[in-house]
Amino acid sequence: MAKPVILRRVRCYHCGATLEVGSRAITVSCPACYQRVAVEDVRFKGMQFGGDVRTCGAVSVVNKSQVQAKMIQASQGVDIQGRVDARLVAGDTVNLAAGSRLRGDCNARTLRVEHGAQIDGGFFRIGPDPSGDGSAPKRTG
Amino acid sequence: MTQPTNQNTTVIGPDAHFKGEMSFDGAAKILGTFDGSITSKGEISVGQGATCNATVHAARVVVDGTVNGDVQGDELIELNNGAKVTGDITAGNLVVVEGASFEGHCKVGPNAGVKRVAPAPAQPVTERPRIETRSMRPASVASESAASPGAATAAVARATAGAAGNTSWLKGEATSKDEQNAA
Repeated sequence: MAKPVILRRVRCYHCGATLEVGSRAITVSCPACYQRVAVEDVRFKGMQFGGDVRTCGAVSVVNKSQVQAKMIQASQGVDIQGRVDARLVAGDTVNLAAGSRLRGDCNARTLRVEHGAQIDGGFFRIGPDPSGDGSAPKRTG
Repeated sequence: MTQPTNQNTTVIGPDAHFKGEMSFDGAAKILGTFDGSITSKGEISVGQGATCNATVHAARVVVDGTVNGDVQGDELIELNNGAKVTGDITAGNLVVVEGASFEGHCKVGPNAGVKRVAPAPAQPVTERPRIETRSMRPASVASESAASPGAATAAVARATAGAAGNTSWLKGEATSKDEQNAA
């Protein structure tokens, strides 16, 4: 007997359309904008340098690991226990655990900073996102 | 919300509109409108409905209302539900409760605060090395400088005038008070 498919609802980070995808899906094609949309959860362990990370899932950076990227975009939040040098865009919560270190801008619905976390500058925009999709704000100029 | 531990809390009431600088040794609670800057060694609480268009610097800052300005909390900054901060945040520790909103630069950590520079130790007063100028001056100047410093200035001017030939402006300016008194 086939296992029932559990669906979850995600929002395309390109166009903001709502999609229903399988719980074990990794990437899907958005029916609205036909773009490839990553829906998996990303977990960083060790060192990671360069590149962008965009997903409709969650991103976690484990303890003692280091991530250096241009941008990390996660619709379901970012959990940082190590060191991150990147611009964060989160549709949900950015959690900075004790001993973690963030260097870069941050755009999130909620920020949770545990005692002992370190934030080195960067422009922060915390609060309810008017678009609600956690998409990266468009740069002007 | 963290309750202030100090019993002597200064409260700016909800109907108050304060403009200027305020400094507290203990805790303070802003419930009205404040424009300017607030400094405290204790806790500053910006209550719900309060508006602070001010720079806030305290050991602990708890925000439930609106702050437009830089906020510096040496120990802790707490943004509770409904808080709205537009400005830069510098804090030892930061707590942002869901529902709070913040826009600005952020620096959090033990090294985030302003480093207090220790005053430099007083330098021992030492005598400046004397520069021998006797060889540059005529003998008459050297003797006059020993008598009075004002006369020495005039003597230098006269000597320079003699060397240059025509320096009438120098004669007028360099006349010492001693010579004027004597005249």
